[in-house]
Amino acid sequence: MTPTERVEAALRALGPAAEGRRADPWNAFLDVDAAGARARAQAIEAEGPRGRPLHGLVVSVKDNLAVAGRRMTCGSRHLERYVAPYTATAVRRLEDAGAILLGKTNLDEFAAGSSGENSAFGPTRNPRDPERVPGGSSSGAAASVAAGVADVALGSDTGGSVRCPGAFCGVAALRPTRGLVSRHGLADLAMSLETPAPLARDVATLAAALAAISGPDPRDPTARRTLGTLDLAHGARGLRVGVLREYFEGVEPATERAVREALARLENAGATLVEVSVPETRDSLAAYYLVNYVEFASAMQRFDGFRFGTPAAAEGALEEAVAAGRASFGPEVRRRILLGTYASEQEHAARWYTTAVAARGRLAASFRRALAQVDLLAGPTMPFRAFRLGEKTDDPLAMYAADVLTVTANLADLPAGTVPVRAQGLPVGLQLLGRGGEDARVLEAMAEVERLEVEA
Amino acid sequence: MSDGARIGLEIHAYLLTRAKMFCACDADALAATEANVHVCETCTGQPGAKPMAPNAAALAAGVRVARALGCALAPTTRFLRKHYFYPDLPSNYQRTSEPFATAGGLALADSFVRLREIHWEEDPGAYDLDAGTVDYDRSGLPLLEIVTEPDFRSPEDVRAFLQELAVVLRYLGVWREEAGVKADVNVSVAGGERAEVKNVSGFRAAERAAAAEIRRQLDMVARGERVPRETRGFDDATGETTRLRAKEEAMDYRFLPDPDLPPLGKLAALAPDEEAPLARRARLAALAGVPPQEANALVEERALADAFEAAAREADPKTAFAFVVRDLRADLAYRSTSLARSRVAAEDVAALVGALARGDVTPHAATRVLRQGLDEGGLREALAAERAAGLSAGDEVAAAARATVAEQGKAVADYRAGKQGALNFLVGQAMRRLRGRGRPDEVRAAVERALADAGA
Repeated sequence: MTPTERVEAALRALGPAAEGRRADPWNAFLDVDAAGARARAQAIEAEGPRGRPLHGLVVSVKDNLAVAGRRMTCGSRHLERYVAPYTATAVRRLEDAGAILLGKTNLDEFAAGSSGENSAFGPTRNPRDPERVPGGSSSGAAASVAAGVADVALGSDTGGSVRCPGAFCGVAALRPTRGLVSRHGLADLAMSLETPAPLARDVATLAAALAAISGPDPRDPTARRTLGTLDLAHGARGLRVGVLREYFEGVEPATERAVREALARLENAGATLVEVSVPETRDSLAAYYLVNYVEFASAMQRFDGFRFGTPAAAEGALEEAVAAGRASFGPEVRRRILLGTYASEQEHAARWYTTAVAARGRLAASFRRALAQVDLLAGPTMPFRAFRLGEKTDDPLAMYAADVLTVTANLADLPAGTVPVRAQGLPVGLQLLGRGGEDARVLEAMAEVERLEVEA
Repeated sequence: MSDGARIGLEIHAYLLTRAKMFCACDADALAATEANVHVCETCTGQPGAKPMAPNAAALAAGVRVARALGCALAPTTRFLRKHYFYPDLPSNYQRTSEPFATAGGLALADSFVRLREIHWEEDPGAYDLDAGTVDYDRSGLPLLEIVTEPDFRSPEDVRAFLQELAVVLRYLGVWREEAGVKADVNVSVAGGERAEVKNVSGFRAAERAAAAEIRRQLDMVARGERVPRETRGFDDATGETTRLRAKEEAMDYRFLPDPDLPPLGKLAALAPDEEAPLARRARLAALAGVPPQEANALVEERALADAFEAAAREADPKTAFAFVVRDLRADLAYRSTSLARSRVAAEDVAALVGALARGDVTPHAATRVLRQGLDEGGLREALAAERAAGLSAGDEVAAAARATVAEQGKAVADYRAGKQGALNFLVGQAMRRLRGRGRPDEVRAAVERALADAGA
């Protein structure tokens, strides 16, 4: 298909949402730039590919990544009217690689969530089953790819926010090593945990997207890594894969079955499977959420109601005006800010935040030791498949528990990908974790898993 | 002092850099006539915007100042987020480094003031409370904060310290002097509580604020009142300090190491070693045979010190001192420039002073050469040209003297009548005839001979 044909097909799939008249069938998009996408498609068609690796691919961008001149709501009423004055580096690089930006996708408010139900603009639905959640927080991103609208989605992953929806919606996703992709332009949730992260239908497209967006950026001094060479035809021969024992605890039978069968196929193809244990995994949720809350409270400090198009701030003393200005946050955002503020106050910091940071260090060291024995670690991406809308919204802790298998990669700073494996009914994702900086190796293994799934 | 006054200072000085601390915006922002022109997404705290790596010139400047004040450098330092809500803060936290230097200090006439620590900070924006607007032009400008121990015993010492500090900052060329310094002046008397007088602008005001606060506290003590711990402001117009807020509960800033900025290590490598300004002042003063305070002019800028030191190798140090401190500085001031920014190098000055001292050029000619060098460059060539044109040969001088005596009948008559001023006049006229190219003593002798020959 030509770029123009791709764009028209995508807009057709969105229905009335393409002209902004109604939400698309999955409420995946918060903003669609039909005119811009069409113009861009025409322009690059006229120019020809010029060796640009993503030439003509349709891309969606999570609405916590800045695109100059377009709204960036972060899924929140607080930023309902905010228009970004600059473009995130990762987004700019997608465009430089020839991609066409279609629009901004729905997300849990300020990326705080694991189901896609925390958006102020309504939940996103899973294209594989509209009564079920797509996963979060990059809910619209995954849905846009699963629905066949976008070829590539740019999301963000703080504790599993592309891998969870990737697994629930049956698409490929990767959480890159910190520093591979610039965070300039990504609204902060937890700065030491997160990174922009791509999702795509297949691993080859995913890898091309990651290659395009990665690399050092003077606007983000923490972005210093490069991807290196990639050989997606590498195969499974000689691969040592550690199967994480703790990762199968409390996992529903259907998910475990699908994942173990996929691992067996990998073994048949030449990989060596080894059972590995990282007991600190059990502390990971507590450490993750404490670090998340504290950094989130700091990140959210800038939203005082005086700027960013927020509805008029109250008069009176500064504290009152700020409290009134921050009243437009949803309950999960408020919950995390309060907990983060508490955990970082002078009298509490040593007990909560410092302890969490220390636990994180121990966990990271454990994973490094495990990865010294094997090339990759493997397990399910999520403990269960996509649950029904509303099923877990009453219990925040139950929602947090969904993250148990994904947060470790962010805590230990490891590249981690999810690739869909054969399953009855709802999608199941196999998760692969690599050594820090070896994102290319993870992608290569994901490509092999994908090939085996298609082959059999 | 009998009143037991103890004063400590926290001094903020703007560093002279081309760009802001964490972004590439123009640091000449203080001169901006319009609001919000030198701004970007980073210094206005837009969602998603990240700080760039800290300004290298600001880091080098800090290390040089620390060394100049005899401080020890920390092995590593991190930037922290200091959280509080105020409209002038773009993100409602200020980025401030941990102390990167400790100990050291400055000697005053009869005391020594120790330093506690030095760290970097970024400036907030400028909040116009009446208009309800914020100007972010200055947001993100690099500041150095220098904290002293409460070693001052008198307000006069405060001013003397700041003046010595100014000598150091000027010499190093790291200070945005037109922005001055701001100081928080901490005062206590008779072992009582400490009050902080915040944000005092300028050396004289700091001295006056200290004096006013000591007076106020002594008055309270005399009345039997207890001095509370509080934060005060200084009103320059009335010369009094006024209460701002109670300092009993120190604000909890929830300091968090900024995850967006990698820690700084190897600070010593950020700037090459150099002779400390005050040590150089003492050495050059001894060389010139003047007391150290009179050598401040020599260390006004490093280039002047270099020029004097080089010139003192070519000529008598006193001659070199007079030329640099008087003639050179006057011509620089007239052109509103510094030696470093001019077209004249220290070695050029040395060559000129040497030629002058040897009598290769007359003072008039030397002035011409200097001014041409400053205005057009090429001082060495101009000097060579003057030398080549040479001084008037002996018979030229004699001829000029005879012609002058022949012309100036009235002056000759005055001379014969015993008016000594007449001889000076005649010498001046002869010099004019020679267009300044005569050695003064030679011209005088020639005029006296010519008068004698004419029978006077």
